[in-house]
Amino acid sequence: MSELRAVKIKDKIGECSDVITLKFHDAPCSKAKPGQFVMIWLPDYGEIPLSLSYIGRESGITVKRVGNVTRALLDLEGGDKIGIRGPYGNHFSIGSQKTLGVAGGIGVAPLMPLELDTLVIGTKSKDEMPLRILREMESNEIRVMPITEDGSYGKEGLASGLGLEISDDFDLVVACGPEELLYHLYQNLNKKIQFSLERLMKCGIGLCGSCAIDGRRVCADGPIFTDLELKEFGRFKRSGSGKLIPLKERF
Amino acid sequence: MADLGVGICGIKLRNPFILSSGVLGIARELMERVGEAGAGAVVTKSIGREERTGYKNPTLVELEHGILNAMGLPNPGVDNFRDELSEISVPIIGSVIAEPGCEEVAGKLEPNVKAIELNLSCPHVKGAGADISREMPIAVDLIKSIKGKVALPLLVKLGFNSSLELGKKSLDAGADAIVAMNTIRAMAINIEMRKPVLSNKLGGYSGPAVKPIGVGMVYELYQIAGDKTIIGCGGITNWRDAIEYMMAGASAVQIGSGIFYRGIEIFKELGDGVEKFLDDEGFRDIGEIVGLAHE
Repeated sequence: MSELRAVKIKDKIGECSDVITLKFHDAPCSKAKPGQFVMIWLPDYGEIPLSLSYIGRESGITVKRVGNVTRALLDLEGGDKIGIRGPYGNHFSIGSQKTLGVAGGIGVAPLMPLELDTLVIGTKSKDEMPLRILREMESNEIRVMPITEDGSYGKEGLASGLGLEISDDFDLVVACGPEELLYHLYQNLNKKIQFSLERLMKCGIGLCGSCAIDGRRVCADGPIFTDLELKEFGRFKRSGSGKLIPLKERF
Repeated sequence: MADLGVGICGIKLRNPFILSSGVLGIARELMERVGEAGAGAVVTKSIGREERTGYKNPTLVELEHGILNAMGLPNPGVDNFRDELSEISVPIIGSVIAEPGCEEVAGKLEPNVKAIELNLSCPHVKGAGADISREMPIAVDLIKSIKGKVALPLLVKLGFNSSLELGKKSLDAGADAIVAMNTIRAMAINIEMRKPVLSNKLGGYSGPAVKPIGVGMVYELYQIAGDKTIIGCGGITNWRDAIEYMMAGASAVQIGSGIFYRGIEIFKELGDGVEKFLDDEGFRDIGEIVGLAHE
């Protein structure tokens, strides 16, 4: 049971090109587990699922501009209100395992509340690299290994490649990012993996079926998965009508 | 052990617990999963001639005593949806949006479903569902046209705002069963935002709060149904609720919001609980309790 609340933005932090973090006080979010998501509502714009990037007395979301709702979220200032329901879904479970995080860009958000050993984070170029977040994670004694496709920051290459290369040193891999990255990791990794999936979400509570993938509901059975029958994962998603459509990217 | 098997309009079901329309019935693997979890049958999302995206979010909000939603009848359109219905082991009931031409949709679903359910009661889409049922002659025409097109049993799903008279007219027009009831037209306003929460503003209310309303509707429909079938729906979250609906006159019940409150496992819980009740109370067959509260 999670009723809708309106919460005030306490703090807005610019991270990198088109990415911000919004922080707020919210009792249910303060008790969330890493990997859970909330439904964020902006009246007149819409409502979208977002992973919590901060969990505690101050919780937060880290948002990239991709559509109408995120564009409006980037325009908010401290004191503005957002609607919030959740936290929903299952969560990462790493215990005391030596854990490698692999993030594609802003996919780092759900990994931020975790006690990782090492984080590999990949972006296209330096201007998409959330440097403040990397510094903050380093100050929490997480080894951070940035990698860019154009080599403008850190190593040159793909996060999935680097993650696979060093994965032998870890007990567990957790990952979030574009499905291409997740699919590549999942197919090639000889380690336990927990990955956070994204699908079009409507109800957020396991009823409507919009986020169905291979017989699971991303909102209620996920968003964290450890295995999937490889039928739709990496290949198909559902449109707003529920029609199965091929993913744009070819893996 | 008491027998939970029921016959609904000539269709044999292993138990009377049916997944209601609008919930999960959009993806083949999810419908299969609900069957594996123990449902006696599954009703699909309401399907139309054309693909519909539905409303933009928010499409649902949890309230203290129930759930409010306005999805806007999203569905891939009948031609795309038929692929989802291949090789499913649980009996499927195809829900059809009440709109002109819905007999064509029913006809296309016919090879893959055991029955058709006409959604005469979606409370929040203009020109479909409850909007149609306000125009009683149109509703009756839709029922007749579907019965003229397909040989399957036809269930008609009514809402709280539907009159008993519409129930009677639906049965007279050839409907084999009435499903009562759909969600109830309602609204939630967030006072800090000073706006209705749902993007469509109005939605349909379901969950525990509406159960007594559904039970009352089933009770009244049972009295006018003659030998036709009544199926109960609205706020069922445990086996006691299911039995209550059946004693009011429902031969089977549908579960929707209950999936949120109890998980997909609710179907097994209902089966176990109802079976134990029947055994404890000395019933041999679940049919014995249908309409019992009228005696």
